[in-house]
Amino acid sequence: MEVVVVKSYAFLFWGYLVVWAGIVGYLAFLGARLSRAVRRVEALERRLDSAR
Amino acid sequence: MRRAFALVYGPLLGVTAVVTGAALALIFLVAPEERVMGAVQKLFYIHVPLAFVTFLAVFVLLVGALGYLGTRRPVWDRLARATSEVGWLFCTLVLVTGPIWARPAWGVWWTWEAKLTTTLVLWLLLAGILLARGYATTPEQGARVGAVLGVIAALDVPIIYKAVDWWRGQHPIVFGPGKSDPLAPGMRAAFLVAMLAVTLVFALLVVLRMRLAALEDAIVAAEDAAWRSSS
Amino acid sequence: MRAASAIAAKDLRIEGRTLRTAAATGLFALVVLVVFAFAFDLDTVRRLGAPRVVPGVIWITLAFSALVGFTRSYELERQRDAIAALAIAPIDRGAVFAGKCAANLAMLLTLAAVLLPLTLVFFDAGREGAALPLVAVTVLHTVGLAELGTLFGAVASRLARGEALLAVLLLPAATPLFLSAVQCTRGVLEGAPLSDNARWMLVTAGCDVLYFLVALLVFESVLEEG
Repeated sequence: MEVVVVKSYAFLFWGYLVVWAGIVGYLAFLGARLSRAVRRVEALERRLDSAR
Repeated sequence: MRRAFALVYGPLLGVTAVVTGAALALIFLVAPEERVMGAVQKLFYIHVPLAFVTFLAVFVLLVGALGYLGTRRPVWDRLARATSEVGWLFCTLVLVTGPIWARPAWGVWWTWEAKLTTTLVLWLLLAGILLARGYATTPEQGARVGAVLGVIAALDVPIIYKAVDWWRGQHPIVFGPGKSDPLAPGMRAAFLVAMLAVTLVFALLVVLRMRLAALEDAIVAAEDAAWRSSS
Repeated sequence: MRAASAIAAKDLRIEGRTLRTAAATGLFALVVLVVFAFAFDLDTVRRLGAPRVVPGVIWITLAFSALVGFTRSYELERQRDAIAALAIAPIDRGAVFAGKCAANLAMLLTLAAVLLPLTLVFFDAGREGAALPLVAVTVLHTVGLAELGTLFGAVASRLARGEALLAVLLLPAATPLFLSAVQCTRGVLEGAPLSDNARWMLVTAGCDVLYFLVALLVFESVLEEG
């Protein structure tokens, strides 16, 4: 069986795109969760201050 | 903890950005096109580093898991959690870029050769760890379960690789990787810088994930204490 | 040592009283076997050569039946929250693991003792002089399966609705075991001497030891409360 070599830029494009999307997607996910966590921490600190 | 993060994050982000930029430049502008496969060969510069870093993640996971089981200090659990998650992400990327490379290179989307198969099993193991942590009812339980499973998975990986390798030896691959061409000098530089870039991205993601874990753990603990003191 | 056998005896006694579990696991295995017979009809098997198909059938059936068995083994204890009692009891964790593992091993070997002859008959794969090597291969690999199953079973039993997880956790980790088991079983059914697969057998034996050591290392943490 002969190996079909496809010299297509499509594979190159999709390959790098997937990796980029995966990493950026995860960064976005982390960023969203981090900002939400920071906001909750600030809210907790405000509650603590007002309780004193 | 906050100070350590602030000290590390900025420089790490900067270095990562620079090295990644350099890597991309080398890959697409400097490295020569390979004779047989043409431009598609450039996938190699990202697929192989991703695979290497995935296995690095498993090693660091082992360190974190053992550290937690030995000391019960939360920072080890955060390391184990972060490397499990980021490692699983990178493992997924390896399994996606693998077939994307295999199809033009070998003519098939998938082959049961040793490295791909081991990566697939590793993906299942890491997914199991993440799933099991999700099923835990308390943070301590999640930490313990994650650590135990992490140790087992990390120790099992080399055994799995060797076993699959022997298994493939008995069934010669009809279509699969042949001998790879030696790297031309321009290629070698691109490859090494790409390797560094992917490792730095991994480190960055782990640091961020650990930061998130620290924040969320602190919130849960504080809300727990507040609830208990008010009731 | 005595603690281990006490725990093993306790598990087996519970098993004996609840014949239901033994029956359920055994029947499950039988059903899977029959499904395989329908999935690979005898003609195909004969053409491919039984030694190439039957090992896979045996080990898949054993693996999935084992999952049923392992889940039950911890289910029984969870129902009476006996795991907490075990954790508090001043028994060495290693003994607890060894005990449970021995009980699981006994269950699996009993299952295999019934399953193997039936499979060989169903698929016409029997062979003169294969009995002893087949026993050796089966025992060697079942030990590893029992160890991993006991370990992951304990982990899964601590989690809410963890039974669903057991397969996902156990099977990938047992990859080397299955690869070796199929290779060695095939060798035996083809009439090759066991020494042909010595490498696989030795590695599996090593894994059996390694899994036990790892279990000793981590079982303490698995049994902890909370």
